[in-house]
Amino acid sequence: MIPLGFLLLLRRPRRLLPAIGGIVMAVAIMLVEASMLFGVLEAQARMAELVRADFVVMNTLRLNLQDGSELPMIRLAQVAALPEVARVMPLYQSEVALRSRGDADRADAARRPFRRIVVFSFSPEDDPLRIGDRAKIERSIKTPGSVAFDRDSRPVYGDIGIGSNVEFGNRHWQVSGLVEIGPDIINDGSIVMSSGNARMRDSAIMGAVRLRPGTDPEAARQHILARLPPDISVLTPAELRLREIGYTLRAVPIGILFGVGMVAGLFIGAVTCYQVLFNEIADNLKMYTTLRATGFSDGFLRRTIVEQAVLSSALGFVAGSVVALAICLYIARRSGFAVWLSPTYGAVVFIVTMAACAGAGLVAVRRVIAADPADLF
Amino acid sequence: MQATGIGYTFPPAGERRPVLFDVDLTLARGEFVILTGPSGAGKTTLITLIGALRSVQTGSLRVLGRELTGLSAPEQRQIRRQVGFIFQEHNLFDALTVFETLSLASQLYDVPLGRAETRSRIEELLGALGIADHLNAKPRELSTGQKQRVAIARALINDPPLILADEPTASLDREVTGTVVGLLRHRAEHQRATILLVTHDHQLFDAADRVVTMIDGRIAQI
Repeated sequence: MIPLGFLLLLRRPRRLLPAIGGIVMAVAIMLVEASMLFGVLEAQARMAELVRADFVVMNTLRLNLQDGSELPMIRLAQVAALPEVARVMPLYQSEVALRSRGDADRADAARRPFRRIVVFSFSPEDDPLRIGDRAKIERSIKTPGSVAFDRDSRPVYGDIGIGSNVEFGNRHWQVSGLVEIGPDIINDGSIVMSSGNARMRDSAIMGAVRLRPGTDPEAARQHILARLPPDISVLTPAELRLREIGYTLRAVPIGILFGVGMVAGLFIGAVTCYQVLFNEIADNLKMYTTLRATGFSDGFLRRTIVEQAVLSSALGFVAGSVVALAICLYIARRSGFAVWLSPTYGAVVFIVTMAACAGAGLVAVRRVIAADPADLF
Repeated sequence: MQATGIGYTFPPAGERRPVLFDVDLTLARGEFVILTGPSGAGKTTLITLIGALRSVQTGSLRVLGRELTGLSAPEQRQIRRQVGFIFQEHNLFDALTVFETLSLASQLYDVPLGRAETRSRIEELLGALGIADHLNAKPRELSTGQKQRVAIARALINDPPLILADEPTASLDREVTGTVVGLLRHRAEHQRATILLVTHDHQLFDAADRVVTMIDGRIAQI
């Protein structure tokens, strides 16, 4: 036989729909908040994921990837001289004001606004970043006057593609290639160019270090730290990523902002579920009390109410996930952040929603347990 | 059932109110007894004590071979599983069909029954009550009298050895009342079920083996 709780809920659409509606909203809020939070954190730490190296060497003062503290080139040379190191690839970073010239006439192009953009520079022979086809990137930035544009940049720069003309640093440049980097909270987009074109200074933002095959990474790290002055830090890309996520959570109240939203969503769902079950019990108190009078246990009644709570939360979760997916796709398209639903977030939200609704059911059922079956006579 | 010196006091807030005074009553197995008396006489309180819906305060109350005094809540529930309760209101879940309501009640049966046997028992009982055609109906599709007959079927589905009924025929017409009373008599005579029925309907008195009158918390006449 179908569980009593399922039957009681499924056969009353007027009760089922409000129950599910509240939970849909709660689940959608929680999933979107979680996806946005992790999307922002991943965006802030994206550079760490893009580095194609065993280690990253940076100035110890550079506590996060937004910080511009640079590393003297002499340090990279010292690292490169160590026997464990196969190669060190300097990466330079700066900011410029860019505008697209597009196909507009000279007068119209001149009226377009400049927008801030990050510039990453490295030698065309190096491939310190996992941002696209290496050969294509090398070809596109080797040519004097050419740059590669991040296709994942926010659309604030206008319609820029291969062959487009852009202007920054009082010069005109041609976009000869495209890369995939992505924006973050602060930066709307990026371009990549040759360090020769950029005429970089004697310092770099980081050095991407590749070790010789067969080298013990940790031993190599300790050797680097022992041989060089204490003004450098040596991190794996994974460590850099975690450090950046931790810094973002500490420095910016983003965790609290999104966390409050998630808790609020959970609260809405639990309260809605409780209210629906409370009304269900109030409307059928005599029926539930009759079950107790005739010998059904309190545990059976709790199970019946919790069944309704669980069914509501399961159906609400499915519908809420669909809503959340649609919202996340919209936000991702508009913001450029990788806002997406992952199975892990989904599983956590599912468990939390179930637990909250079951808890609401157990609170609501107390009214039945407290009712005196003798009052039926 | 044997009640000896039963007393009961309601504990409303701030004031204790005695409603039963030294009640002695014995029901033999298979006996059909009507309990009557004016409102407030203590009939309902006595029936709730016998049905283990309330805890015994003073005196001794043996039901189905078990002393009810001092029983825990789970033990009281075990007693109630052997009692067929017929309340004044049907208290049916409007989302369940007649068949589902009775199937649910049959889960309390001592011995687990198979689907076919459960269905057979339900159909037989509904047939005896004249509502066999409404097996798949929901309460909103039934008249008040039909709903009450479903409630009566719910009370009888597990062949309880003790049946406690509170005005079970109040919403039934004369013909159906006769059917219900006949069914109860059959249970008493052939299954040796003990029946205690509270009613003010004097026309039912002839069906009973004995009529007990209560007045002001005491047995006035047996």
